[in-house]
Amino acid sequence: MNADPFPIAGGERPHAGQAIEEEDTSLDITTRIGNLVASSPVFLFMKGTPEMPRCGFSANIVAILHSLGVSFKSFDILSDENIRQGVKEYSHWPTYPQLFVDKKLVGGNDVVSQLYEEGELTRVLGLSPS
Amino acid sequence: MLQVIALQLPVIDKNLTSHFDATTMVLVDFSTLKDLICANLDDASVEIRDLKGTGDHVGILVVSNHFRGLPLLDQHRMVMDILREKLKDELHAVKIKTLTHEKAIATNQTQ
Repeated sequence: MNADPFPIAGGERPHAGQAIEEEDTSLDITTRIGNLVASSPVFLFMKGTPEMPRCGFSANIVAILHSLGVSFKSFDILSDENIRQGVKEYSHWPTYPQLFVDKKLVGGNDVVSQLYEEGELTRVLGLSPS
Repeated sequence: MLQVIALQLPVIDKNLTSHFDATTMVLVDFSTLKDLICANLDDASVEIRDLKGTGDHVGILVVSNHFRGLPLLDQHRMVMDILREKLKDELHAVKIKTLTHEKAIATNQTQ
């Protein structure tokens, strides 16, 4: 039985998105990024945190994930310049946010928004269609 | 607290564009962009819109059967690769949308 993804206002709901604030920064950058994307099946590199996005595009993907009731972890790329530059090379993608599923890049805001509009995102996220 | 913030999150905005880090702002000739895409994707129909009236935020719809069977990310990558130099120098932000011809007809998005 799945939890209600659209709880009524005022209802208890755990944080659907959890920002990672501590990780081992002594490791090399590729290992750090690999550890981050492996820390959750759904992982978002974003500007800001799910509670306080600092970019409209990051807020947009967070809103989409929330609307689907998806749990995910995130990293604030504004907090670490090495990660900010490193992820772009790691994924060969030039912009943020970047959504990873099962350690693979799904896309940025355009791709994720288009998948959402086409009803494809639930499949990509491995959720059963509602 | 979470509830309040959740209410402030924007509705999914179709006009949002992706930010490219630190680029200069130069006006772009849309027909050059169109020619560039069509030269690389022979069957492409391309629609370019100036999203903010400033010439550096553009929405690009590319319809081509070269996208058939590819994950959406790879479709967008194809367009970004074609525009790579332009994205570096001239475009501040682009919103890309890709469709196959069948899908464009099915979803009524032909020009």
